[in-house]
Amino acid sequence: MLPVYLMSVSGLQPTMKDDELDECIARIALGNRDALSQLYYEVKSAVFGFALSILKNAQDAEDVLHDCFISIHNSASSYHSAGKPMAWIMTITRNLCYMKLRADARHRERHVDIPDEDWDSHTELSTTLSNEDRMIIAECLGGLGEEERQIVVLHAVSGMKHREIAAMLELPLPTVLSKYHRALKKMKEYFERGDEQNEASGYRKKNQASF
Amino acid sequence: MKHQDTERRIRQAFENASPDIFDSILSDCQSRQNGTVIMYTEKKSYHTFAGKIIAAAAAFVLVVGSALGVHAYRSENLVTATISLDVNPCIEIEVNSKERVLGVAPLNDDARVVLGEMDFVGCTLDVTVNALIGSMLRNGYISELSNSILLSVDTKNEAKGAVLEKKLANEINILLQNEIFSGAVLSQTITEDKELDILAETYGITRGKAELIRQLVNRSGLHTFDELVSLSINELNLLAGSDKNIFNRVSSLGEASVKAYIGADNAKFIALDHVGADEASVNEYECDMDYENGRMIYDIDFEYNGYDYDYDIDAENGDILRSDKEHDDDYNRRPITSTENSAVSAPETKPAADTAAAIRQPSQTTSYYIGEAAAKSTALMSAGVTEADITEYDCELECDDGRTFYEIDFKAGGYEYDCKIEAFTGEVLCFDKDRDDDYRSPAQTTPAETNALETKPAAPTYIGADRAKSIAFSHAGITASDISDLECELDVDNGRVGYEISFEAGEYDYEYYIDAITGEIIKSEKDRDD
Repeated sequence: MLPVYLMSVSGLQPTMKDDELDECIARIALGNRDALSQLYYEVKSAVFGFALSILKNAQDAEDVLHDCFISIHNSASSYHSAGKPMAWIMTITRNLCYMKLRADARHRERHVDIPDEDWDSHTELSTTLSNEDRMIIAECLGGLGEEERQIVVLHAVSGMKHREIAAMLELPLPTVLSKYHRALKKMKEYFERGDEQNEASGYRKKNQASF
Repeated sequence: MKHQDTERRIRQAFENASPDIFDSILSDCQSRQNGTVIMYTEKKSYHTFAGKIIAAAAAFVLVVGSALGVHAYRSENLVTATISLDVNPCIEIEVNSKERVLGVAPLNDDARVVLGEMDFVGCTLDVTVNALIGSMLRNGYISELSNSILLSVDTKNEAKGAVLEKKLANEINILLQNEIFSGAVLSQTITEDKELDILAETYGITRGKAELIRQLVNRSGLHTFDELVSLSINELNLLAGSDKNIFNRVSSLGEASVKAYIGADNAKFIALDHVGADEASVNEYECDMDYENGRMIYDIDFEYNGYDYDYDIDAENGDILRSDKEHDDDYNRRPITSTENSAVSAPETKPAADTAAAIRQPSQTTSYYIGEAAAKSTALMSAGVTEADITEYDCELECDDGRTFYEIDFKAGGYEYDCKIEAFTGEVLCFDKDRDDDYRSPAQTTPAETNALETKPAAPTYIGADRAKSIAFSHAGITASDISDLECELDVDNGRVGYEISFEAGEYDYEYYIDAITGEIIKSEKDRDD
């Protein structure tokens, strides 16, 4: 039987291709509300995830998600497709994140560099989020280095190609590839540890029930 | 667990965690359209505790502020100019009308290194710039190898901006003078410009750097913004060359460092040495730095001995990346014409030694070309065929990689030939023989049925390109939809006819050679795509 997590994720791959995203942005430029909604639901997890990986604070990431779509709405008319709509959206996201970090640094509201291990105490993820998802994000943000988690989110969540990620983060492609594979290995180990524990506890429960 | 499963679980978690705030976005977009101005980027956090504290603090400030005089407070905290410093680190400094620093923002990782733990809020602009330049020098961002910095003053008041720009440019120039090297300062004053905002935002660079690149792109017409955006200020400064007047608003102090490169003199030596020319006999020599295909190059043009030469030399290692030689039409020499070439008697029947002598003879005495007819006969000899055997003959005089040659194509006996014959010496530079896929034996001028019967035993049935591709794909373990840059060609290698198939998938380049008759995989290569 398929594990529960696999059953629930079918159909989660990014569904729109680059030219469809381009067309969607073109319709937004013409003031089409449906296109804005379509784009929003298509890329919200990518934008939010990337913002979260930079800011490590769910509330700030939510603000960036909001501002990013306002920015897309306002600048859609001047968007010139270079065949990389996702890179455009993620660049806007990244810039907004750094603006936020700057503003925070200026106001001295809080220290910019939250130690990785403390990140979850600063994050107020939605209360409806399952414990498992919460733990995965905690591990992703806390267990990976800054660049690693950005690269993982850009590839796994946004579906960007490693080459595009390298261009955007101004890193050499081999660096992006090796960081990605290292990070994914860490995450894989984390999942496998979790699965083993679940299996063990499932086994225990089963045995207890049979007694 | 597979990679894909790991990615899927991560994606699922982020998907579940991302909030649905579309209604809030939509209503803000609408109020914008209705003419209500809202400050998106300064939008307050919705419900954090910190947010409430700020709100309370703001209210407090407002009350105190009105007591003390709101005007004074606002003018103190109003950003009147943003000064950006670009090297590779890009740093933005916001100042008020009294040139007191309101904030310093690092725009990239290098800038965060430069800034470190320093806090400049409330400092004067002079002190701030001084400390930042010092840190850039200490951290090696400005060095003997890369000495350029771009200073941009971004303000609504252009006149005041220009004064500030000049003052700061001079200060920075003095700060960069030391025993080992002196700096190069590009400076500009920029004002409101929507296109610039978009460029800066899209590429994640300062408005100042965006303006500099925009001007370079507009000037040359050869580069795109995308191409230049990753260059450092020193490289952009070198691209601008000595003629800084092309910039509308950019002033320049000092010279960009070329110490990271081989230098114009060495590049010149390499080009002239390649041609075999000495400096005195070369005319109209020009050398510019340029950026092509991701590298800095010296673009060298000159005239020598009746030819125009054009060289691209890699600026970092001196490799000759391209060399072109073209006959100089203005040069008073005998031009090459087709009538002269055809005037040479057709030498097919001559013994080989005579032909070779006929070819060599002119090149020994002059720089004249051997002529098309001599070239043709050399080609025919190499192929072992006679004039009567050949069809679809074509001959062109070409110039590539510093050599002039006759490119001769023809078909004979079921093969296609492609020969390159050196135009001065008659040397065979390249000889290619390939099976002609369209070939039908000369007897086959009869109706189609006979044709098919006759050719069948001669041409064995090939598996077809589609079958060959699917063999390659299944060997690679990928589906056609994952593939890009697919190429498939029928080729002959070591006497075996096969399909040469290349494609990209994921991070890899694949290359296959599949036997065209048996479908056997003769060669398979998988390389990481860099």
